Amino acid sequence: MVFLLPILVFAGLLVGLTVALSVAERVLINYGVCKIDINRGDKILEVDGGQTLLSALNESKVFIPSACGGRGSCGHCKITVRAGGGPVLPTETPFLSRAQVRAGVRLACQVKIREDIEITIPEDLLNVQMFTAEVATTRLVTHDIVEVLLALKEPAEISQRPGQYVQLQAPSPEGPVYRAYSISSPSYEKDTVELIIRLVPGGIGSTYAHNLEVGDATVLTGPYGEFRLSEDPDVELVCVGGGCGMAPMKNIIYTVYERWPDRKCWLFFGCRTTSDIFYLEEFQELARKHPNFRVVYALSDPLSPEERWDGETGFVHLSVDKHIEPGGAKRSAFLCGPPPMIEAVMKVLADKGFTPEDIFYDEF
Amino acid sequence: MGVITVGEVLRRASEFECRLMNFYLDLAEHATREGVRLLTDYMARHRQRLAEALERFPEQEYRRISELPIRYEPASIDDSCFEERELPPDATAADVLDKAVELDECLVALYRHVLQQETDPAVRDLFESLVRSEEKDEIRLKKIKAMNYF
Repeated sequence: MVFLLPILVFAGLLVGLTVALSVAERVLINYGVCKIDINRGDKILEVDGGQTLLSALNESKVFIPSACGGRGSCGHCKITVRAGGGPVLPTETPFLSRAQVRAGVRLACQVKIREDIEITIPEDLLNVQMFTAEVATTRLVTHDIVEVLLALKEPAEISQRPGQYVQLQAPSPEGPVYRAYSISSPSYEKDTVELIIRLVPGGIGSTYAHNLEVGDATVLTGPYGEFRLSEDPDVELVCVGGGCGMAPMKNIIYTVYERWPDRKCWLFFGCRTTSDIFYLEEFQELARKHPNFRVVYALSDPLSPEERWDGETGFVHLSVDKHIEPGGAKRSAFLCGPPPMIEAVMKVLADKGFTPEDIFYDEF
Repeated sequence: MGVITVGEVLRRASEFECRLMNFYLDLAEHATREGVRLLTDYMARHRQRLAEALERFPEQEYRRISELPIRYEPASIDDSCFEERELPPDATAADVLDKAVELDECLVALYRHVLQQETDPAVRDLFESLVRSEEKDEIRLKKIKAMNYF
C-alpha cells in the first residue's frame, strides 16, 4: 500500500493536469462558430471551432468514410481543403502523395477547425445517408465467412451502384467504430443490403458481424465509392477476386445480368482450398442462364488427399492469363483482393492490352 | 548512451530497411510455397518507406536536420531484431506476415526513441511521419493476412 500511494498520487496529478488542459483549451482558446463551405457554396455549415473537420462533418450528417475512428491510421477520410486548413501534419504525410499535398488533399480527421474553411468533396458524398436496419438473415458461406442480409428501416431504401460499399457501425470499448464492407446485393434490391464478411481474429467489425442474429438492430452509413460500371453493353467485363474479395463482384454480376442478359462477363475467383469456395454453384447456375457469363475458380494450395476438385489450380492471375485473349476489344476490369494479387493481375491485364483506365481495383 | 547526428540515425534506419528487403528477397528465393514467393517478392519491392518519407521532405531542410545531434542508444536498433527471426523455406504466408509485423515494430521502436527526446520540430515531424508509415504498413500486412489468399 505504501508503494502504491506515490503511484496513485502521480496518476491523479496526470489526470488532473489533462482535465485542466482540456478545460483551458475550451475556455481560453475559443474559436467560436466557423463556416465550412462545401463544393464552392453547394452546402454551407456552421460548426463549433476547435473540433476536427471529420467530426464536424459527421455531426452535420455529411458522412466521410473513416475506418479508424479519427485516429489517422486508415487514410480513408481524404478531402480537398481549398482554404483554412492550416499546414499538412506529419500524421497525414504517409497517406498523401506529393501531388495530393500540392492539390490540398488532407485527412479530415487531422484538420482542426480554427477558422472558416473551404473544402471540396466528391458530389456522391453529399448523398451518403445513415441507415438503421434489422438483420433479416445470416448464413455461413464458408467456415469463416458470413453473409449478412440487412433489411433497411430508416430510410427504407438505398440507391447504390455496383462496386460501392457501406460502413457498418460496431460497438467497441472506446465507443462505436465503423468498418467498410462492399455491398454484395445487386443494386436493384433497394430495401436490403447484403454483406459478406470474413472473421478476422480479434477484429472488432468482423467479430460483431459474425455474432449478429436475426432481428438485431444495426446502423450503417453509405453508399460510398467512385466505381461506375460501364453502361455500354458492348464493353466486356472482367471481374477478378481473391480471398474474400467477392462482394463487389456479386453485386456487379447480378446487376449486369438483370439489365443486359447477353453481356460478356468473366468472373475469376482465387482462394486456397475447397473449404474456402463459396457461391460457385450460384454462379454456375447463372452461367447456364447467360451463356456469355464465364466462371473460373482457382485453388492455390496443393489439394489434400480428401479434396475433390476438377477446376483450375494455381493463383488467380495465372487463370486470367490463360483465358483472357490479348487484343483491343472494349473491356473493363474490376479487381478486389490483397495488394500483391491486384498487382499480379494488373500486370497480366496490361500484357493483354488493358490500359490503366480500363482497370478499377478495390484493394484491401 | 552516445550522441550522434540525425543523419546517422537515418542512415542506420536505411541500412535496416535494406536488410529487411534482402530478408524478403531471400525468402522469395528459397520459399517452397508459391504464395510465399509471390508475397515476399511483393514485400521486398515495396519496402522503401524511409526513401518515400525523405522524398516528401524538403531537401534543404533535410540537409539542415541531418547535422543535428541526437542521443542514441546502440541497442535501440541492432542485429537482435533479426535474431530468432529466421524462417524455414516451408514457412507459411501467415508466418511471414507475423514476422514482418515484428520487424516493422523494430523500426517503430527506433523512431520512437528519437521522438522521446527534445528535438527540432522538423526532426519530430519527420520521425512522426515515419512512425505513421510503419503503422500504416502494419495494418496493411494484417489485412493481407486476414484475406487468407496466400
